[in-house]
Amino acid sequence: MRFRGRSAAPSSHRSLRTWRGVLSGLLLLALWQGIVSVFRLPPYLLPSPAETARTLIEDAALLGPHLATTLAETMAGLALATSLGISLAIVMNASRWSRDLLYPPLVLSQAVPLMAVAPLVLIWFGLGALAKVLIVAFVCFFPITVNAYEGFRVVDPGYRDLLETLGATRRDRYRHLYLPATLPGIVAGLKLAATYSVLGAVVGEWLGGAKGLGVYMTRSLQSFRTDRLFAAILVVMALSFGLFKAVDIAGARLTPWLGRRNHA
Amino acid sequence: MTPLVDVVRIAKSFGDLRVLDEVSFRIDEGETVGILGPSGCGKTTLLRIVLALESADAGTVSTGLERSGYLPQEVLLFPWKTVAENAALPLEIGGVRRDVRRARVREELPRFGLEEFADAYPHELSGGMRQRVALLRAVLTGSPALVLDEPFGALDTLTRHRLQNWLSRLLEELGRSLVFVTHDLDEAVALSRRILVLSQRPARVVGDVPIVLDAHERADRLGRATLAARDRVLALLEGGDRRAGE
Repeated sequence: MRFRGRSAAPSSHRSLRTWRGVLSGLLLLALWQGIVSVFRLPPYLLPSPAETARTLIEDAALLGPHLATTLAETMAGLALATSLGISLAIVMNASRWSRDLLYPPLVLSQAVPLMAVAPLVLIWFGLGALAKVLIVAFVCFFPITVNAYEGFRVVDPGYRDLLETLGATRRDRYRHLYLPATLPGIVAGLKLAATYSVLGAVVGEWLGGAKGLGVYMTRSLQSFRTDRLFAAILVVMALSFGLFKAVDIAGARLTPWLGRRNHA
Repeated sequence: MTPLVDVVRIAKSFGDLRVLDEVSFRIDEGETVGILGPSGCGKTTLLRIVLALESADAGTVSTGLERSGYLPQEVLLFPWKTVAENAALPLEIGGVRRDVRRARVREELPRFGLEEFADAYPHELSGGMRQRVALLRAVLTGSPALVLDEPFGALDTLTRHRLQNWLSRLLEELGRSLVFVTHDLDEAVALSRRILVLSQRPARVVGDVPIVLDAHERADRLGRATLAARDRVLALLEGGDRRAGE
């Protein structure tokens, strides 16, 4: 068993991509600093990147527990959305009947504004972590469900026939065919969900709660500490980006056959 | 002889399109039978019926091929499985232990010329190699019969020719039955011990020709015996074509 496929991407390409990413971040910071300097904006309107960085460092101890709360709610919500999304896709894939029954309400659920749903969830489930987890799950489950279901739907029926001739059970079909076939779609859905998830948690915290980045943001606004608000925004962005990258890396590990193909 | 497949006067339509009409034949265990017919005549539908993947509208089918070593037209290797994992799939579904599966696959890979490629993914292989992986998967079902749908249709002439000769030798070694459909007359003559000739759609059996060639004659595509067998089958194909046009 000696064959070794080509590695996912040469390391020089990877480091080039990283440097391009860093450059794009630096350009954004330069633009931000340029706007502050050219228009001579006061810090309460728009703090400079340097002032925001200073606040970030000074408030690190205060931000830490808020960040941990938001991260925990986000992860729990994402996990709930993933299991719910894949289960729902499996149920919809089981029959045309279940698909017709579930697909329309699934699509309609995304037409309901988050700002209308979130307060209701807080009224029903209280101001604790559970409500925030549910809000994150509400925001995230749609792309996961749709991508998983569409992945199941486009599976070549020839594979199903082949498995039939091998005496495969329904469990075998999901294990050997449907789940691996739809895994790239699930990963793509999860990447979208990862970016929405932090937003969901922050909105929930913003509307009510004792801890989390959303709570930190409302308190910053109430005291006109725009620099703190910007610091929190940076943390939220970093968190979203970190989750996105984590899903990306995990996805690449879970789909090694695509890595070799994409970069062959 | 025990019948492997016994098909009596079956018919099949898709909407208004009649695909099979009064098709009858019998294949016994241990036979190597090619089902030859023009493109689009209903060969794959017939194969799907004998594999119990499709039901006939009329007639009776008794088949021992529901659990067989099936190689579909598009090969259908699972892109997310390596060569070894694809080959081991029938064993895995059959509940064979992982170490036993690995040993079985490792044992068979050299016979299929794949020992260097156990960890390769299907897209990293040539068309001929993918075909051999799919054949290995079919062989590892342990079924007494292999069922092939246009087995080498997508390959270039040279690769097809080599694989046909290789498969012919492999079948001798394995002692398994082979049922395959093809539109390629040369392929049918090279691999079959008996050819069922189908007419244009709606397909009917217009000939049942024994192909009595020794291994040497079979490999010599331009030999007298091979060409004579080829001409007999061609005459039936053309006759079936004329009747369908009348």
